[in-house]
This record gives sequence, structure tokens and C-alpha cells, in this order.
Amino acid sequence: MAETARLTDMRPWHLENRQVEERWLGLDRRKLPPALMLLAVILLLAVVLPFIDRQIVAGAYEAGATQTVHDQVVFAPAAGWIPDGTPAPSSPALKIFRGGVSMEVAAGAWRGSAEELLANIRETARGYYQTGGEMRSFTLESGMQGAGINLYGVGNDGLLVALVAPATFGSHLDDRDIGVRIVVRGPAELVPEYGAEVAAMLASFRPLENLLRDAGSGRDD
Amino acid sequence: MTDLRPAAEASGWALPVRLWQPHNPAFWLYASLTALGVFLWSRALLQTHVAPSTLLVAVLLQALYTLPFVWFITRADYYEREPAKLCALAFLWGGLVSTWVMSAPANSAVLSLYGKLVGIDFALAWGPALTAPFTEETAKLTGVVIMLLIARQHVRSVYDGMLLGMFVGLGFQVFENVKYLSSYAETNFSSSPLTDMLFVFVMRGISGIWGHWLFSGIAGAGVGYFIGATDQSLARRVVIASAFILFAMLCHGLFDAGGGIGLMGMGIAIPLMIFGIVVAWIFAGRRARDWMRALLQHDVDAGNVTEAELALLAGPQRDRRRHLRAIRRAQGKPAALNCKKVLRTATELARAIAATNSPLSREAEAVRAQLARVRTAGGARPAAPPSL
Repeated sequence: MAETARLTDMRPWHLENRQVEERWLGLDRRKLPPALMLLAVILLLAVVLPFIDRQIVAGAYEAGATQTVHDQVVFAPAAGWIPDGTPAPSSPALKIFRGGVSMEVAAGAWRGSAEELLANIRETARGYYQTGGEMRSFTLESGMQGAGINLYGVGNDGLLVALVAPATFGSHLDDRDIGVRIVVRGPAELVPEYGAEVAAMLASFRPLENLLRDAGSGRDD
Repeated sequence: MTDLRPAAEASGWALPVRLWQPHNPAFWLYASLTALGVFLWSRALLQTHVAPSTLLVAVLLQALYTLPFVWFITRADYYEREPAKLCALAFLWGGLVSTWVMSAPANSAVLSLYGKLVGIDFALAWGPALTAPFTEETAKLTGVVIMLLIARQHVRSVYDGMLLGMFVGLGFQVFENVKYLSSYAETNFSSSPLTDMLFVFVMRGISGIWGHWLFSGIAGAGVGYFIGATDQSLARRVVIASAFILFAMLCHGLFDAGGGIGLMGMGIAIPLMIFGIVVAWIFAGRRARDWMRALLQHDVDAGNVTEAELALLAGPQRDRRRHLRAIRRAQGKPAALNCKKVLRTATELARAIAATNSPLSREAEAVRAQLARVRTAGGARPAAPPSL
């Protein structure tokens, strides 16, 4: 039968166990090359590609640049600050840094005041943020309500800020407002050095609809 | 007597899968990388600032979502179910290693490189379509390859590659979705976690029907063909395996090209995926049918299985369906059900023969007795020759 002949032609895998002398450090020597090839592919994806990416430094923001977060809020990064990764306007969160100080910005839907948002951030973080001092409330020029508190950590000081603005058209599934979480962190001795730049960046936050209303006032880098 | 050894060995049917293999480097690779994956996944979830109950709901939703896929994949091979141990290993590799150890850092790096080298607009529009097919499909294929290295005596056919690939892909999309669900709740500061999670669950649930499990099923079929079709030339095996893998990457790329060409990409990808999986099934079924002929020939000669039944078992699935429908119309539902049981038991007989490499083994005799009981219980006559 032709099919049987074809099946007979098949070369089955060798099933027998390897002998002791065919082992290296207790491992079957025959199975080492394919396992090492697999490990090479894994290392390429997990280590080599991120390494190459880290070697190419992205350009810093220039004076007058603006950055949109989650297509909901806009702020003006200070000149010289560098985006960590790809600063996509649609991304719900982004991080920028300069000289060891970082500022993380995340925007999403929120129903409540800025103070409530700050309390929610601290509560859901389950002790991740070590806060201290008194909470301060403020209002930005754009009309966004804010609340902030100092952060203290081992070698890392900073600021935790919550901002709230009315929702823009079609930005959410429901009628929730826009909430923004801002975390500024860095070595205790460096944070004051960038204090003025951080304050200017915080003051520049505004919801996207303000930007559209003031059409032509700036664009994303 | 027909030489059974080639079919028994080539099919790998019913051979046991052993997990503890201290002499096998792939075993240590699997164990260490899965442990790393558990660490990375747990860390990612713990760093998500949502309530534990939100995480629990995300996990439960995805566990429920997984069940119908598992039901379907475990029944996709008419001739043999993949061993549960191997399916679980493939699922965990896909969910913990392919996702968190490989794809997450690789995707982030490649997308970032596109942004830096070509521009943010390009990265946003085409980045996903030109990243995930290469990084994620490669990461998932490592799952099929490591299954081959761990259970070499079992993983040896197109079916094995395709079904294990599906399990790797399913693990990938399920573990990824748990993170997406909780992240979306976090993005909105847990202000309405249930609403947000249900929204993402529905959206990703719908798109997941055509998602990772199908891409890696097609690519896995290529690996299965390469390792199993040892009667074909090396060049042919390389070409066909590469065609399956590249086709899976093409489908994945089109599926993720929403930023560049909108929903049209998905509209093209879905029919292509259906085509690809059907072709993979045809490749898989053809070889399994060859084994059925060789393994059951002894029983056909002895009169335990009729020529007509062998023709049905060694034929395409549509012929079996057509035949069962014809019996149902002519003799009623009980007769059709009995015929279905007879065919199933005959398939079990083939597996028992393959597992013991002998038609006269105790296991084969036990299934043969069961086959006789099924016939007697149903009062069924041997199936009539199919009118095909």
C-alpha cells in the first residue's frame, strides 16, 4: 500500500534516554543546542531590544512645546525635560525627567473633587506613596481644581498632586470629569533645584477643550 | 500484518508526558522563565493601584472567558486530545513568559525606537502593526518549541503544533487581558471600576475571538509540520513551515493596523485567519488519517471494524457528519448516536494500538471489547458504505 510505504519512510524521533557519558553538568548534551538557541531568541526579545532602545536617547522638549495626555489634558513641559519612551498624546500616562527628577502624569475619568481624588490615589496605592505635611488645595489659571501633598521616601522626595476638570466632549463613557495624577520624584537634594520648572509645568495644565477653544495656541511635539 | 511501528511512533498518540526531567535543559529553561514570569506578572498587578476586589473580578472574568476556548481546542482534534498537562504548560508559558518576559519589553522597545527614529506619528499609526506580528508571534512560537523540547515523544504532528500554539496564544491573551482590565480601572482612578472593566472585557472579548489563539494556532501548525513531516524533504518542510508562520504574522499585522488603515485591516484579517486555520486543519487531518488506516488495518482484516467505518474514520470530518445525518434521517436519532459512539470507540482503539505498538495488547483488547458492547447495546449493524 502506497500510504504504508510513505509512513514507513518516516523517521521517528529517538525516544531512548541518553547515557551518563552523553551528559554535560547533568544535562543531556544532545538537547543543549536547541535549548540554547531558544534562550538566544528569548534574550533577543527581553534584553537586546530594550538595550538598543536605551542607547538611543530621545530629544528633549524645546521651549514652548506642549504635551497632551490621554487626549484629555495638555501641559507645557519645561525646555530640557526628556520624555521617557514614546510620548503619545493618546497614552493614559507618561513620564518625563531631567537630571534625576521625574514627573509622571496620568489622566482618566473621575467623579468628585480634587481632594477626593488625592485621597483615592493614596488609598488605592496601599501605602505606595509616603506622604507628609498638610494637603494644600489650589485653582489653576485654566480653572482646574487641584490638591497636593509632599512625598517622602528613602532618598526620594517629591510631590503628589491631583487635578480635576470638567469632562470634554466624548472623552468618557459617561458623565465623569477628568482627573489627573501627577507624581514628582527625585533625590531630596535635587528636587528643589527643579522646583521652579515643576511649578511652571503644574501651572500650565488645562483640559483639552480649553486648548481647542484657544485654537492656535500651541501644538504637540 | 501491517507494520504499525511507523504510524505508532509518528503519531505519538497516547504516549505519556513527563514533567520532571532534570536532565533536559528545556525543563530548567521552562521552570526558571515561568518563575520569572510569575514574578513580573504579579509585580505588574500589584503595582496597579486598584482595590484587590477589582483585581479579583478581572481574574474571574477572564477565567470564565477562557472556558469555551478550552472546550473548543481540547475537542478540535478528532483523533486525540492533547494531554492536559501539556496544554496547561503551553497556556502558562503563553500567559507568563511570552507576555511578560518577552513581548512586554520587546514591544515597548520597538515602539519607542519607531518613535525616536521615524517619528511619533508613524509610531502611533503603524507601530502596533509593525511590532506585534514580529515580537509577539516570535514570543508565542517559543512556547510551541519549548513544548517540543519538553515532550518530544508527544509533540510531533501538525495537530500538536496547531493546538499547543492555540493554548499558548490563549494564555497570552487571557493574562494580558487581566492586566488590561485592571489598568483601565486604574486609569480612571477606580471611580467606576466595574463599569470600566466590563467595557474593556466586552471589547477585548469580542476582538479576542479572532485574536492571539488563532494567530499562534496557524504559526504552530507550521512548526508541527516541520517536526512531523519527516518523510518530506527539508526544503519543503522549511517552505511550508515558514509560509504558515509568515501568514500568521501577516494576519496579526493587518489586525493591528487600525491606526493606519482603520477597520479595513481587521476586515481583511478575519477572512484570512479563517482561511489559514482551515488550511492548517486540512494539513493536520490528512496525516492523522494516514495513521488511522495503518493502525486499524488489522481490525478491518479481523472484522472488528468495517471497511466503511475505516473509510469514514480515515476520511474528512464532513464525510462523517454527512454519514451521521443520513443515518439519522433513515433510521432515527438513536441509530445515529450509536454509529457516532462506534466511530469514537474505533478511534480509541487506534490510540490504544498506537500507545502499545501492538494490536494484540491488553489495552487494545479492552477497547475492542468495548467496541463490541457498543455495537450490541445499540443493536447496530456495521455502518453502510458512505455514499460520497
